[in-house]
Amino acid sequence: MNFLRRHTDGVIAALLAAGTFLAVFFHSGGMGITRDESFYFDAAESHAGWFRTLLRAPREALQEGTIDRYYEINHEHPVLVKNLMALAHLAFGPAGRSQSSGEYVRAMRLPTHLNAALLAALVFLFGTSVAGRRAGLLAALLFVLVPRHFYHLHLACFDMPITTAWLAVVMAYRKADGSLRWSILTGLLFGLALSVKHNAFFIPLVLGLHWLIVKRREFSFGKAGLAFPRIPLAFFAMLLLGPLVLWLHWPWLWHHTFERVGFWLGFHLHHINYYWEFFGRLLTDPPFPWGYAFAVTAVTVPLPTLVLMALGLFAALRDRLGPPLARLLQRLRLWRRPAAASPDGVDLARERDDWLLILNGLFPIVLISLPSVPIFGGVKHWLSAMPFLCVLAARYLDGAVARLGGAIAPAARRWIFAGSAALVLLPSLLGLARVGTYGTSFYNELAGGVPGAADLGMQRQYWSNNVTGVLPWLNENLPRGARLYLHEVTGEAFRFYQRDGWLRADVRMAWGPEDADFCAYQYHREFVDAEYRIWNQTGTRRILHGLYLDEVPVILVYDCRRQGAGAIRP
Amino acid sequence: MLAVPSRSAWRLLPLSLIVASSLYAAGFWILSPRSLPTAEDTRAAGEHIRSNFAAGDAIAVRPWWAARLRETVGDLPWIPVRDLAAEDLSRYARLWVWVHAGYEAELGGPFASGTYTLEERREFGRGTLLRFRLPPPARILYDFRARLQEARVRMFSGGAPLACPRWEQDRFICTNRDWNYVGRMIVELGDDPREVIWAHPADSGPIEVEYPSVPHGALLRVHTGFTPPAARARDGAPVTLEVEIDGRPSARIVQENRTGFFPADVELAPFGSGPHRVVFRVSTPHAGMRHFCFTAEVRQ
Repeated sequence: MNFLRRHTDGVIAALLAAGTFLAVFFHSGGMGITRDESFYFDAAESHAGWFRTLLRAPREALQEGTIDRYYEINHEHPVLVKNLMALAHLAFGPAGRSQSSGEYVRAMRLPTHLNAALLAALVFLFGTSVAGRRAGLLAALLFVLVPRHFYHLHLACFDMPITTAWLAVVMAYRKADGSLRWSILTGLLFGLALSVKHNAFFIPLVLGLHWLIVKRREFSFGKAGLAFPRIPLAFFAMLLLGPLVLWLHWPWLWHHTFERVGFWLGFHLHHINYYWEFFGRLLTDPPFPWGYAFAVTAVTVPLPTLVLMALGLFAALRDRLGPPLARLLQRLRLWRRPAAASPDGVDLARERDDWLLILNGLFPIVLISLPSVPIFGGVKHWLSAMPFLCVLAARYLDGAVARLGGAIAPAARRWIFAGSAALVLLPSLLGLARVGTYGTSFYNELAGGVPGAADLGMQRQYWSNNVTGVLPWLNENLPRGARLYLHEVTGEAFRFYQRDGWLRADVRMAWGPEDADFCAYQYHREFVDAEYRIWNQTGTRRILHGLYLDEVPVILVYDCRRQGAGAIRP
Repeated sequence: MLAVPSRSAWRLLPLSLIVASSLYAAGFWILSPRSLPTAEDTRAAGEHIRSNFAAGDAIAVRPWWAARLRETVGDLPWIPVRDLAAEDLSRYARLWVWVHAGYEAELGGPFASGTYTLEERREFGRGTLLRFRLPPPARILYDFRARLQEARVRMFSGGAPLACPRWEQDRFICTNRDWNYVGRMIVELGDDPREVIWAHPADSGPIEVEYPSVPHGALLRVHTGFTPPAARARDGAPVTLEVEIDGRPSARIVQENRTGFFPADVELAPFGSGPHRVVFRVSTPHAGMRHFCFTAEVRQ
């Protein structure tokens, strides 16, 4: 009991982690393979070959030719996650290329499922350290239960791992003030973040901004020249250890380092924009509307969570910007009331945390809102903001209950907090149950759910993994050896579906409706022509089967064998 | 007299907002699925349409994106447009509309004004099937898209004609370039799929589609448009569609670089009693990304 009492936070974090892992692991069975995952699976299998060589012939493994053979594939991303997938594949995946019943994808996703567990625990621990245990617990649950987050937690992609890494760096930085150990850890974690995804390049920018803001009183310019506060050790550690860890983890960088780093950065600096349906408009060319990321967040985060996030963010901004603004207005003689707090009276720890939450909660969203930043996807690009916004949300609810005053007994306030927290989480759970494994189709109550989003003209889905909704029907109804066109599904994913037993092995892949006996079309505003090609070819709009979410068509199956070209009009 | 809320009442405001938004959101997820028609409702509506379907009928759904009804009656004439009230339905005598709960108000314009008369209203679970009687339909004497195979297609290169005699499935093939054909297509024009004749002009010269024997009527109705990708091309040149009847120029339609399905009418009275030789000539100063389409019909 003493152990539990002494390590309550650790125990709660472990329980949260275990619960999240189990939820994601068992729910993953119905989650289709996204386009990006299919490329990463291929890459991880290739990297696994390098690990085999490393065990068998270490000297050979270090040679340029060998490294290139195994790491040339998908070299536009660092390999930390893919290396972990490779190791999981070696340890738990089906042997060779044999057929399996789900083991292949399960093994490939195992590292990101463990990441999901870690992330839930970290959000709790961070929330606890910033706002107290119950706020930490609520923050973790708010984060995990947002249906879009829950969806991304399943995937063998980099978006949730970079969210974890970003949060971990910030947590270490928070503790690094004057501590060599934590500073070194910050540097190492930053290196790991760089090894997950290039988003990590922006972490120093946010932390630098944070340092400038919280240390602003220590800057001065006088007769003695410019005086500025001590630069945190953590920044030097990030500068030195970050690139080193990145280089060490990625064998492809061991030769032609600068040239290859140049390629990697260049790829992302010149990334194309993907087409995106946004309030009835098909966005095709930059600049995208500046409010894009904010608006998409507003219609994809469950309403109560969104309201709490907004209240928490505004409260923190009011606390931080209110007093200086009042002082400024006072100086300009536009405000008569005395400013709320003098610099001496500021709770520095609270101020430091407030700015950490505000900057990290806003920066990823503001960044993607800049007109010059390419947009190639949905909420996944600013997920790293969400743990911070969830902590702000949970802290706000905690504060709102505390502000009810001393007239209510502390025990009663605890119950009020628990009750309102449960009420806030309920719509997330209901939304999650409603949308199931089709996470990219989730829209909140403000949008009117999936049907409301279809009315508004929002992106109905992306990444192609919703196709699992029609695979059982196809397995049951397709004639032997049928040629099947799975619109938007990559050739690799088609292969993996067959390998893992999701799709019958005798079914042959077709690259377009023209070569297919059966077609499964995914509704995308930018690809509607794919469906019209089917109509054109078959002469009918008749659907054999479909995946409908609240009656909104998501995947439509057509018999593409009928040749009645142009015969639609009577 | 209005009482000013006390300070403690103000403290309750944020919590009230949170509780209210949570209750609303939870209610939304619990109640909203109950307003949707089930698969069985939709199937029953489709079967009713099929058993009562007549020549000159067409089908539409509200909201525009609903598709499940096509599992039952997708092979019948369908009006798959977003703005049903603005659509030209003059080809049809009756319209069946399958409406989800809450979407009937979208049927404005002629549906609301009584121009289209509601003949039947039947509930199938949580959906409503409506049947409207439309004004007497136009008599289509000649549909150029449907009769495309009767046409002679040629393109010009350096002023010299080059016949496109090869007919494959639904199109006349002009060259090996995959866009260089004249064929029956369904493409997106504006926001909706349209059944059209694809006639991508070439840089080398105009494309001509000639119909040797077209019956006389009151009106030649032409629609033109660019696909959205074509209209997005920043340097997209306009395309000119010239219509020639019995060797006489009768219309010159310049399609500017925007997507949509734009109508134009040509009176046929000045051209005698027919039959007529009708030529559609498509040209542009610059053919890059000119996904131009048109359709035409002779109406009585």
